Amino acid sequence: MTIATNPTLYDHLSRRILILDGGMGTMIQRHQLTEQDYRGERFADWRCDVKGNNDLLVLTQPGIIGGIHQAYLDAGADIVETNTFNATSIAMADYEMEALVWEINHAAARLVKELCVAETAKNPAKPRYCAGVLGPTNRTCSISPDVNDPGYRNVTFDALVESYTEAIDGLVKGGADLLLVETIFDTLNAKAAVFAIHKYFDERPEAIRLPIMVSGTITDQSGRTLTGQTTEAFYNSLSHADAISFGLNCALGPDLLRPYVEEMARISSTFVSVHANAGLPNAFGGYDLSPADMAVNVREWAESGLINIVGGCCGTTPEHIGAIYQAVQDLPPRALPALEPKCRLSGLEPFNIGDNDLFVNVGERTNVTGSKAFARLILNGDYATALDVARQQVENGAQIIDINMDEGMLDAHAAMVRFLNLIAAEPDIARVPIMIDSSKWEVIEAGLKCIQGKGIVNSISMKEGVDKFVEQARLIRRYGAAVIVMAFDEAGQADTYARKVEICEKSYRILVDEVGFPPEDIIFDPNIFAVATGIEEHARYGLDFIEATGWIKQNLPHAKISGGVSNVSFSFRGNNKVREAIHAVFLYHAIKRGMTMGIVNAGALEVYDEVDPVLRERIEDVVLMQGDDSMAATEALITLAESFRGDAKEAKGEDLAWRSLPVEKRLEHALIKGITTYIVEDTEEVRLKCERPIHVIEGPLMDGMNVVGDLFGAGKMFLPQVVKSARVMKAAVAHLEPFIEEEKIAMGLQDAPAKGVIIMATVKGDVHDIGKNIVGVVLRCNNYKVIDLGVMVPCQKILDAAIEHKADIIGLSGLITPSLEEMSHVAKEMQRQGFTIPLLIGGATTSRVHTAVKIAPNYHGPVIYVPDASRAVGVCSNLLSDTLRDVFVEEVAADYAKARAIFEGRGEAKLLPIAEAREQRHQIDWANYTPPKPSWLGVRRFEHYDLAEIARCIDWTPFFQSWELAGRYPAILSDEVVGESARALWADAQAMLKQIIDEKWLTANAVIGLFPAASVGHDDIEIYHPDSGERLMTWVGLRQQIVKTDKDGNRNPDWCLADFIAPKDSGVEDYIGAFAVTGGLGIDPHVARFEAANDDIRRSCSRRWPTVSPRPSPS
Amino acid sequence: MHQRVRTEFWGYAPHEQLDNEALIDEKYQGIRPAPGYPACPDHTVKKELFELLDAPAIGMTLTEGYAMLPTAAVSGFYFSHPDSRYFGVGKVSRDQVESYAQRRGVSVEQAQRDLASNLGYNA
Repeated sequence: MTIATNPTLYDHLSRRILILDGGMGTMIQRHQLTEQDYRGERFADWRCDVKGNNDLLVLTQPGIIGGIHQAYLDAGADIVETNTFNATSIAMADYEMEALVWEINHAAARLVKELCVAETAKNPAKPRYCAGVLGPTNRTCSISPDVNDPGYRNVTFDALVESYTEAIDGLVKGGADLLLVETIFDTLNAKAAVFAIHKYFDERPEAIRLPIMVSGTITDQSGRTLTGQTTEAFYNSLSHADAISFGLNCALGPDLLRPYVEEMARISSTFVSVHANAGLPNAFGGYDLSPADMAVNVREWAESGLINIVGGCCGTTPEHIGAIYQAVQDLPPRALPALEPKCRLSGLEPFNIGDNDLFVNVGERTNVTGSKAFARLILNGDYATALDVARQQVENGAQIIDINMDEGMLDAHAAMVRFLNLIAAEPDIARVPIMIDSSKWEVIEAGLKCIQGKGIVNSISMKEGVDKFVEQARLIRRYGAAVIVMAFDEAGQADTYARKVEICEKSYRILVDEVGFPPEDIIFDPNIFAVATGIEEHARYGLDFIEATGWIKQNLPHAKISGGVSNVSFSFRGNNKVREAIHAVFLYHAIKRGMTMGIVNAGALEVYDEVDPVLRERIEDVVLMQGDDSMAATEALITLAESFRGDAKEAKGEDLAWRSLPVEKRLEHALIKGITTYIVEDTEEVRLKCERPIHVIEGPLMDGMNVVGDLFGAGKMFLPQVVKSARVMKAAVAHLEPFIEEEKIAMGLQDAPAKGVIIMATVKGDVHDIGKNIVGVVLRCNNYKVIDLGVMVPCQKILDAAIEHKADIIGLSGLITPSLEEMSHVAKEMQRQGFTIPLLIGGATTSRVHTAVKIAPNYHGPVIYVPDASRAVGVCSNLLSDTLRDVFVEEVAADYAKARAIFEGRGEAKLLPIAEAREQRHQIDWANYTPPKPSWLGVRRFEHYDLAEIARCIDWTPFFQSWELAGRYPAILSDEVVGESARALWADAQAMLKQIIDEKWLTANAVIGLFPAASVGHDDIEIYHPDSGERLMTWVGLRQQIVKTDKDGNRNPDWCLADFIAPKDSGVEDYIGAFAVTGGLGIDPHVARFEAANDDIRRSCSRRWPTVSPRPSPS
Repeated sequence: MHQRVRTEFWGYAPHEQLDNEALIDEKYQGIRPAPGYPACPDHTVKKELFELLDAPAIGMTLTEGYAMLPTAAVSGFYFSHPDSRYFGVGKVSRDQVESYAQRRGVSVEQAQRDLASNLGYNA
């Protein structure tokens, strides 16, 4: 498949904004044509009414239609659309005119083409193009017209392809310069149109391949197509069209369409077109937006760099097009962005997988070969329950679902079609991409004809030879799917590292070089086989897969790696506990090497860190072939596995050792493992220990969630597990909420004026809200008014709510990676729409660096990363304080500037070889310097050091920081806003300190050593006994290896601590000191006492005590 | 304590007169880098430091992870030279780690673990 371009068209698109024409129906209406007019002479006796068959007019009233086209050309249109919106056999059936379809298309294209040619001849600098229109037809391939049977369809993909092919032939032969697939409300219909176009040109190598324009329709303000796709999902689904432009038209006026135009401009790698309606229809079905008003909107799009092609749809006239042409004439077109190559999949929502994204879970339960339960449901025809299986997987965090109907007793073709059609009616399931899994090509093809999103084919291979492989790959591309390629050829399945690598490389080269398959859409399955089978040849299976994965990641750019994980543990079937442990260990290592996705049971994943350490080691011996004797390793694992026998089912009842842990640890365990069984009783137990219910959230629950966050960040927990953790957290918070409300009433706070209004939302594309909900609870407790907009909230809705509620702060949350991009987008929109209020960023994948680098630069207002709920109150109170705000905002901005600088330097920072770095050492002129000799040498202890002396040296600034009071001591004590709290806190602390000193709670001890010392070999320091000269210690040092120059271009030293000590061979006597100091002996019982009493101030004071400025050295 | 070392025990800055704020801002001569901080990122050095000083004699010990007990504690080294300054070692490359491991008498793998956050390459 070659990219279809018309060189002159491409050239003009790169240089200016091209104008598309406007409404056709609106213009025809002005002529008030009668039934007779429609019929003309030729169809005077037609068997049914034809009034309203606008496309017929190209045959019966070509003068009128030609006149309308000419009016648009005169108004400045560069691209004129043929009057063929309904000219397909499917739509023409209404008038029983199927037989006229080819003729109408041909005549319509010829009509426009002749006018364009004449106009271009007048002004060759402004060539005009004839766009052959392919409308959506009046049937939908993704939706059932029968409410009682959501699986029913009144049109098939094949019928659409056939119908479109006829229209295409008419348009092409009539002289169309390009083909415009427009008003797409069902993406599957458009996929059929694109399939037909590619097939048409593939089969006619002599024909000039015409460029394709694709234009979808967002039907209402939900921001989705009629069949439920978001703009990006729509784009992903049709990205295989190799279109010259992607755009939106119809349904909405320019104002309401704007957010989607902006989104299209952001995501589209090709040119962007828009032809909006002249506003929404009025009560009489007419459109009111004036040409001047429409031009204002369109000009703003052009100024924002959003568009390449612009025109009008329903209600627009040559006057509108003239005004639009004038409005954008002096503005440059949108520049094409350089987008990262990602595997861009979709269901109803987009799902993009970049080269370095987190592991993707593919749900395996909707597979009749893997799940007996699912097979039984399908065999019994119980599709309703089978759909529940699919739904559960998505709820449990499967990001893609694998569907396989290959069962001997089943008509796999029929079952696949039925199940996919049913899924299309279930938005909860259909939101994720589908993996069509079959070993039969005809089942795969049948499946591809049912999904409007961009899915994955699982799988193809070279097992029946290269020709078949190439043919199937071309077809998959034509249907628009990504593909899993099995490491399999005519010689069989690859079972060794060498064969895996060889077959994957060969397949990759064929797909990329010969077929033109995008490398980012290729996913290799290098075959996971069972280990620990007792057969020597199988011992390397695990390791070979992992190493092949690493090789593919390194050598085949943008290719992905997948595998069926449960195969690896097949030898341990019946022992689910061990199997899950093996999966966790195997995945952990494979993911480290680059495994992109795996087919897993999303609900039953074990956490790597939670696998019993002994078991984990034995498993690693087997999977990674550690040790010399693989057979012995297998034996050891089999023996050990026996002691872990016990089904996951049984385990629920038996493995309750964790119940004897302290309650805080029990909460942590429940959060990590996603166990809700005891959460209410444990939460209650902690609540009774805490002074305030909110402390349960801020303390142990937050601590537990932070552990979950760390494990997730380290790739040791996966999304499905985090989803379970979130459920546990939700249950705990739900239990606490009534107590929090009660407390508010008891404290008389329910009527107190709110400290500020905060809008919170999980951004569009993301459904994860636990973090946001916790922040909401914490802020409400602190008397902020929180307006929670829920999940999947579009940008404009957030901003509108902020204006409506006069919000002081907006808080965005999200868990999955694409949310990061959406947050950047919200920041940009806040900037564009003139917001100034602070924007808070939170959620598991967000980070200080990401906020600093990707979000903050988009918005002039304060953008602040909030690492967890416990920080939210401090941040908000700082931001809403008249006096602290500026300092705080400035500090954060400075910190982010630093983070950006470090980030930008990262990766480029070349390290010098250590030998060269040593040459750049700091050289002290020892010949002219005599190091001072200490007054004594050796070691001295200072026990029971004077506490009062230490107290004088306390650095109080961090103390106030730990209480969320920002400001430097002592200035903070006189601060206008927090001064009072700070003074009260300081008074408490002073009293406490006095008590500590007076009652001698603490013992402060120190030991100091002063020794002769010398540097050796540039980087190490030897420390000697003062009397004997014996070497007591060699402190091996590390040296900087950075390449640094100052502003004059001089090299700065690469420092090492040994630079500061005289070299041994210099003969200079030098010294070094050493110290160990503690102020905390005896503090623990006191801390425990305060903790028990929940006296935070005292606890913090007592902990704060020893901070006699042990600050990390500035780097 | 550092103040007494500077003015009294080592005595290289006998006339130092700094108020508390200046002390906190570290406006004095000499440095006191601590293991685990950017100039000496390897926490395991604390083990040798504690042996050198016999720190357990004043009730200070190390956990397996090289954290100090009691938790309210500081330890490190004193340098007196006026040029001495704080810096961050930053990322180190494989050649330095191999040399470091050999000089410390540990395996390269061990050294990579000890210096995990400073590795400028994928171990």
